[in-house]
Amino acid sequence: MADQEKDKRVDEMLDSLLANYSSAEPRPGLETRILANLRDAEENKSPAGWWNFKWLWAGMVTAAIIVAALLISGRHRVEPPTHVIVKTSPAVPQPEIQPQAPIARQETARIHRRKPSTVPAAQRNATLALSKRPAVFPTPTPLSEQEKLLLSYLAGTPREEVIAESHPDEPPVVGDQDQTEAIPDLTLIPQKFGNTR
Amino acid sequence: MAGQAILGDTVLKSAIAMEAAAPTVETLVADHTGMVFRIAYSILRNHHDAEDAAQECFLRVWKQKDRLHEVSNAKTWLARIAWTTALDKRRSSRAMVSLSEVSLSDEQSGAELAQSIPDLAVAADQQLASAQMQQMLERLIVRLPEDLRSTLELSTVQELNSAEIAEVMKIPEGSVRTRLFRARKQLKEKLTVLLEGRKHG
Repeated sequence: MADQEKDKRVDEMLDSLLANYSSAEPRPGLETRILANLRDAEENKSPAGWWNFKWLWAGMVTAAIIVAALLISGRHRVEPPTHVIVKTSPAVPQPEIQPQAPIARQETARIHRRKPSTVPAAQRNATLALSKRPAVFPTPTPLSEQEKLLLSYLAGTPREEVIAESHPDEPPVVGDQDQTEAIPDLTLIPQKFGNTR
Repeated sequence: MAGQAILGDTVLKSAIAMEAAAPTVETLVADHTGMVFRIAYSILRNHHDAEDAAQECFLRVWKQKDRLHEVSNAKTWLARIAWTTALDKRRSSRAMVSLSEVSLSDEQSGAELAQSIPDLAVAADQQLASAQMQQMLERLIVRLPEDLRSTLELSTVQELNSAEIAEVMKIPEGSVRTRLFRARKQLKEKLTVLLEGRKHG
């Protein structure tokens, strides 16, 4: 009986203690402080986010510039400049195709010889070989076989025949005066076929 | 066609209702600050630490504010955040660590506790509510195993019943009842021994 009463008493004491264990109340104004804290967090978040965002963009742009610069420099290194001179004249068959590179080199060397230069010949040749770029534009080339044939034809042919050949569709002109006036100045013709190619 | 229109209208209404029912951080603060504080206080046993934990808890909630509409039970969700926040704070608190790591021998601690028990024959009701008894109970609870201790601490918060404690701790409700029974039994045995020691000594 005494044990039961003692046990009951301990139970009641434990209940009372546990009921008061977490019965504390917060200080007044805790909600207000929490809300103010949240407002501060909200205000502090936006600039930080924008700051990070800005740095992200700056990093991306810098990386893009670096990659573009590397690509451009790499492309210049891989692809050397090539100058190909192609001569096409489908109407007249060519008797023989000469390689253009030696001719170009000879002409370039001839142009350099014209100018007084203090640079040694070996160094000049090395520079030319490295650059592979013609010194004069357009590249001077000697007359081709076809051009030489054309000039010799013009030199050995009367003017009337040349005019008639150059205007095959025009009707024949009657009268000496008109014929004389219609003849162009043939001194300009060799210049027209000059080596300006 | 009419059925589809009715279905779409129903879905729209339910979506609007869910949107309207979704709690905001402000409403959670207004409705549950007391519960959050008491959960933190039950674990930390200090007003200032409990308030700090409540602030930290609502900061965590604020970071998840975009997902508040996904929360089905805001009360237990918030209680769990408060519980984990307070446990984190207790782990990092050197004062509580030193309290829990008091390495007194059983005889020393028993004698100390027995001296702290006031004479029940004088005025039992007044003395039960005294600060000394509360301190003694805290010391007894600190010595409980961690699972029993956590469950008992949550059970002392008036706002939480067994089912809600189970949801907070992510354990079955039966386990909550079992733990509470075992914790209470151990506390009662120790309290009886202490009271007997006081009576005979």
